[in-house]
Amino acid sequence: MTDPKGSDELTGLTRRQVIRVGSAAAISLAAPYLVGRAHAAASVPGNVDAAKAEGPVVVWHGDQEADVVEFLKAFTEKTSVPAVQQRLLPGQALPKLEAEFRAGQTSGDVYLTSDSGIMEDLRRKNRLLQYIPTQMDAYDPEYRSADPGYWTTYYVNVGPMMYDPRFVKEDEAPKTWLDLLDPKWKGQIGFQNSAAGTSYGFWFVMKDVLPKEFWDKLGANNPRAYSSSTQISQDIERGGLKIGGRVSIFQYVKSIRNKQPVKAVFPSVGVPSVNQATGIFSTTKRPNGAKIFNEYLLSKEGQFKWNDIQGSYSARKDVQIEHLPDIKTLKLLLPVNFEEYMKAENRREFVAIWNKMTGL
Amino acid sequence: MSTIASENPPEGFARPFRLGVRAEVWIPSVLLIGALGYPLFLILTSAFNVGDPEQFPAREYGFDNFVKLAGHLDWLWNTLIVAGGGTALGISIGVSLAWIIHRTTMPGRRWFDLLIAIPYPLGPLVGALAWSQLGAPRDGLINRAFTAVTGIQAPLIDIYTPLGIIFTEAVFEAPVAVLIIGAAMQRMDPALEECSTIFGSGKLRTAWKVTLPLMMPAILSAALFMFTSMIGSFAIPTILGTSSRFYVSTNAMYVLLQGYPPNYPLAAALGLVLIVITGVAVWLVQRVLRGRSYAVISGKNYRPRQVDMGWLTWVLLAYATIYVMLSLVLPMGTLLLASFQSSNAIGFDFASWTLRNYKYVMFDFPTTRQAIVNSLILGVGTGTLGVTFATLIAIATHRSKNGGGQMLEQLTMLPQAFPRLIFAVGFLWMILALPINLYGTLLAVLLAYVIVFLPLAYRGMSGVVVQIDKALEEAARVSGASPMRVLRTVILPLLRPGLIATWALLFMVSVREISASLFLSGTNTQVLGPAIFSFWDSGGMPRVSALAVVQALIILVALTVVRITADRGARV
Repeated sequence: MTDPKGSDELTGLTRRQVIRVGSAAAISLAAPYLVGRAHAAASVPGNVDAAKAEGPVVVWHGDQEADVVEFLKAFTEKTSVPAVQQRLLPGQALPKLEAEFRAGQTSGDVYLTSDSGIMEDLRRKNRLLQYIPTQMDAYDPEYRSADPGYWTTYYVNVGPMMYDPRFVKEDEAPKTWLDLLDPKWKGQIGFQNSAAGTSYGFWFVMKDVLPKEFWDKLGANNPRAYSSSTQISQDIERGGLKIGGRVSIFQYVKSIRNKQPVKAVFPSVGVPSVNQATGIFSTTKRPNGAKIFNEYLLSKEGQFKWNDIQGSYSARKDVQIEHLPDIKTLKLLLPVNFEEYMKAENRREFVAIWNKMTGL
Repeated sequence: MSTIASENPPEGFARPFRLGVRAEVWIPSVLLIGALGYPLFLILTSAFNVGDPEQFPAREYGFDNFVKLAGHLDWLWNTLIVAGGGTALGISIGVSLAWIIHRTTMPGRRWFDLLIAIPYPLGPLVGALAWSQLGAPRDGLINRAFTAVTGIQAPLIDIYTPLGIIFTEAVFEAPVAVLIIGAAMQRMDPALEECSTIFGSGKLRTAWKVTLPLMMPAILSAALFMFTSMIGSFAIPTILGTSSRFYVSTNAMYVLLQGYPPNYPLAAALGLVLIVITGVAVWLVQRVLRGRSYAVISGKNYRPRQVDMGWLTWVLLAYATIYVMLSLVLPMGTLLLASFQSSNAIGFDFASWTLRNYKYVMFDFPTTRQAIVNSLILGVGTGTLGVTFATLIAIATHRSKNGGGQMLEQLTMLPQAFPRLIFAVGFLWMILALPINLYGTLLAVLLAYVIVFLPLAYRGMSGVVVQIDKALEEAARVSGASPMRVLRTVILPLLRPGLIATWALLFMVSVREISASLFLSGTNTQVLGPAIFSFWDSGGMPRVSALAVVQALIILVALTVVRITADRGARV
C-alpha cells in the first residue's frame, strides 16, 4: 500500500501540481507554434474571384463620404472587387452593430473609425476578424492592435487649432491651448460635438496635460458644437467662426488646396491625435473582399491614395503627403493607455463635460 | 322598400365582428395598434430604463431619466418657443395668403396659388440650407447686399437665432395653412359676409369679424398640423441652431443618439415628453372644435364672392410677392448660385463658376443615384399604399355607426403625435426584434413612411369621402351591384380628384423626408433626405446645394405632372 501523503512529502509535489506544471510547460512549448499557426491563418489573403462572388464589400466609416467614395473607386479599379460605403458615426454604428449581432443579421464588413478604443473593445469581444496584411511591418506598434491584424491605423488624425488670417490677425491668434480661455474668443471657438470620436480623443489625451479647470473655463467662453470638422472649416472660411478649437488636419490641407489662406496652430505642449483604425467584423459575410480591402488600404499604394485624397498623415513612414507639415516636427499626443481609453466611466465623464461645455 | 332594405347585405365590405365592430374597422385597428404600440412600448420602457441603456426591453425601471431631463428644461422650452412662435407666424401668413388668393380680386391669383404651394414640398431641409447662405450674419447674401448698399457693417439679419429659426419654420410650413384654410374658404357660405356688408361693415372689418371666426375650425386644424410638425422639426433647428448653441428637443436628441455610448434612455424620455405635449395639443384642439358648428360648410356648392380691395389690392400683391420671394425665389436662387461655386463662399466671378458639382452628384457619386431611385420608389409606394389605406379607413370610419369608427380615426391620427425622429428609433428597435428579416430593406422604410404619413393621407381622404352622398352607393346596391362593383364604378370615380391630390402630397412629403429616414436608411437603402444631410455634414456647401437643387427639380416635375393629370381628370 502506498501512502500518497508520504510520497508527497518525499517529492514535495502533489499530483495536481505536476499536472499544472506539465500543462504550463506544454502550452509554453506549443505557444509559438499555435500563435504562428493562428497568425498563418490570419495571414491567408483574400481570393479575388471569391470576393467578386461575395458581392460588394460594405465599408462603414465616419469620414467624409466623398473621400471614401473616391477611394473605393480606386480600390475597385485596382482589385476588381466592388465596394459600397455608409457613413455612420460611432454612436450610430455601434448600437447598430450590437443590434445586428443580436438579430444575427450583420450588414457591414469593414469598419473605419476615429475611436481606436472602440476597436480595441470590439477586439476583446471577439467581434473583429484577425487579418495580417503583408505590409504590416510598416506600422509601428502604437499604430496597431497589440496582437496585430485586428485593427490598424489607416491614418493619423492630428488636430491643431485653425483660423483664417482674413478674420483673425496672426499676432492675436491663439498660440497655446490656454489661449483659448481668453474672453475675446467668447462664442467664437468651434469644436465637434460629443458624438465625434476625435472629440473624445482630444479630451482624453489633453485631460492630463491641461489644468483640471481648463474645461470649465473653456465652457465659460461658450464654444460652439459642430457635427463635423467640415462645417467648422467651412464656417472659418466664411468668417462665421474665428477659431477652430480642434480641427482635423485634413481640413487644413483641403482649405490650402482650395487656395484659402487658413493657418493651423500646433502648440508646443502637444497636438491631440487619434488613430483612425480599420478592422474587419468577425461576422463579415464577405471575408475575401474585406481582406482584400484592408490589404489595399494598408499597402503603400493604398495609403498614398487614401491620404492624398483626404490630405492626412499616414501611419507609415514611407508615405508623405503634400501640404502637410513634417510630422517629425510635431509633438503628437496619441491615446496609448487602452485600458483607460476604453473605460465606460471615462466616456461618460467626457460626454458630460463636453455637452456642458458646448451648451447641450 | 322595407323588404328590400332588410334583405340588403350589410353596408360596407364585410360582416360585423362578434362584438359589433366590422372587419373593415377592426382589421386596420389591430394593424395600427401593432405598428404603433410596439415602438411606443419600446420607447416607454427605454425612457424608464435605469439599467443597461442598450437593453431592449429594459429590465430595471425608475424615474432617473426624467430627473435628468429636468436639468435640460431649456430643450423643451426652446421647442415650445419655436413651435409656438412658428405656428403663430405661419398661421398669420397662411390666413392672410389664403384670404388674398381665394377671396380678393388680386391680379395673378392663379399663379400665386401655384407658387405659394411649392415651398412646402421643397421642405425644411432645402429651406434651412438656403437660408443659412442668405441670412448668415457675416457672409449671408442679404447682409452682403445690405452692407454694399448702406455701407453699414453690422448685419441686417442673423438667421442663426431663435427668431431666424421661427421665421424659417413659418415660411416653409405656411403653404399647408394656405391649403387647409383656402379649401374651407372656397366652400364657405357667403351669406353671413353679405349680411355684414349690408349692415354697413367695411371689407376689412367683415374679413376680421365674420370671415376669420367662420374659418376658425380650419385655422385651428392647420395650426395643430403646423404645431405638431414643428415640435418634431429636425432639419431647421439642426442646421440653424446647433452651431449657435440653440438646442430644441430634436437636435439635442440627435446628439444623444449619435454619441458613443448613445444615451437612449434620456432620448426616449425626451421623446416621450414630446409625444405627451403633442397629444395634449391634439386633444385640446379636438375639444375646442367639438363645441363648434360647421354649418358654414354644407352640401351646396357655393362660390363665395370675391372682394375688390381697391387700392389695397396693390399692397396685397406686394405682400404675396414678398412671400414668394422669401420662400421660393431667394432660397432657390441662392442654392442655384451656391451650386455653381468651387468654394464654400458664394462669389460672383462668373469665370470661376462650374457645373462640376452637378456632374459629381448626378454621375460620380453612386450614393446620390441610389438615393434618387430609392426616393422615387418610396414616393410612389407611400403615395399608393398611403392613399389606399387612408381611403379604406376613411370609408370605414364614416360608414361605421358605433364607437369603433371613432376609435379607428383616433388610431389613424395617432402618428401625428409622434415626432418622426423618435418614432423612427422605436420602429428600428421593433423591426430588429421581429422574427422576419425587414432590417435594412426598403420595405421597412416604406412601412415607416406609410405609418408616419397616414394622418396626412387620412386628413386628405376623409375630407373627400365625407362629401360623397351615400344615396349614390345605395342606389347602385339596390340595382344589384356587388360591393366591389360599387367601389369601382361609384366610389372611386367620385374620389378621383382627392385620390390624385393626396397621392401627390404623399409622394412629395416622402421625397423630402429626412428625420425618420436618418435612422432607417442603410447601405443599400439610401434616400435623398439623409443623403443631402450627410453632404451638408461632410461634403461642403456647393455639392449639397447641387443635390438640393436636383431634389427640388424632382419634386417640381412631380408637382407639374400631377397638376396636368388632375386637370385632365377634371375635364374628363
